[in-house]
Amino acid sequence: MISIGNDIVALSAINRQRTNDIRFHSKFVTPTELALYQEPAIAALPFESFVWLLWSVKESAYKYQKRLDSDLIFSPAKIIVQIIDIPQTLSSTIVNDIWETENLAGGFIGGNVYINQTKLCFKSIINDDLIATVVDQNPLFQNIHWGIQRIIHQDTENQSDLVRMFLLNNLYSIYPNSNFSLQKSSVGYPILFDNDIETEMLISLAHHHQYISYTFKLNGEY
Amino acid sequence: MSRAEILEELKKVLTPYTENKEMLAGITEETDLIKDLKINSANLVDIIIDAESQYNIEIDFDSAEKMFSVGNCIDVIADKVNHSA
Repeated sequence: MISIGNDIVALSAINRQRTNDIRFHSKFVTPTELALYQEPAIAALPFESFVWLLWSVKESAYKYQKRLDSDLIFSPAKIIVQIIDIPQTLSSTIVNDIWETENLAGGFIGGNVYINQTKLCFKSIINDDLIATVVDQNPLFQNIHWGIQRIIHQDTENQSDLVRMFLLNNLYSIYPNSNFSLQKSSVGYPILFDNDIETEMLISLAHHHQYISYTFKLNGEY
Repeated sequence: MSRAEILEELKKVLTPYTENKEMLAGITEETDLIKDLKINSANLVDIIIDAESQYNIEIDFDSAEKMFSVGNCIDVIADKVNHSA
């Protein structure tokens, strides 16, 4: 079974002081994950970025697995990040107002995460403003498209509308003759329709304060 | 503490994390924190920490994962409050 999951964290919206409090981060960061911060390349990250990277990976992994197991409960302390690999040369990913890619081959922070004995791979972006993650089972991240957009901070309903519009704009650039619409499944993941016919395209959407993000996996003619 | 009293206190805990103040005022035990109150999942840990402070309790991993609806939150808080009394 295949799926997809993503997440985005706007760093302006997190409480840095609280993040550094063990009472806070111990609610979802396990001792083995905390030990990863002893590795020099990882310890070069600000601690709060490390903590929210873990959160972002866990949330993405949960969204991946929730599509396959509708009864799954989000339990971040039981989703375990095992490896974080920070490449020597990080992709110079500077997310301006809009950033989109279909090449997740190299230059991103990567690693492995386990959820219910399932091993997944992740790719993440960290900069001064945000942490964004995509999770897939295949370490090559083939045929995956990923976009991030900065918006003027809107309320949650508007963020939700804007991320759907952002996704559809990209899809129309690939399939200009389609007539797409989106609906939400009973467990919350987006389902793409073309001319009111359900497609099999795997899509995940995320929003947090002034950032929205989509990811989708192309599978032939969707 | 009765469930009604916990519910009233819980509204104060949830207030900073939802834009939907009208729905918050009328929450029931069936209200879902994410689907109905549109609380961002990134704030779920904040809510647990704030609830710990509000009720002077400690909420462990296993209990925290049950706190996705108002009723579940009240179950967990009532259990912890009663055990610490």
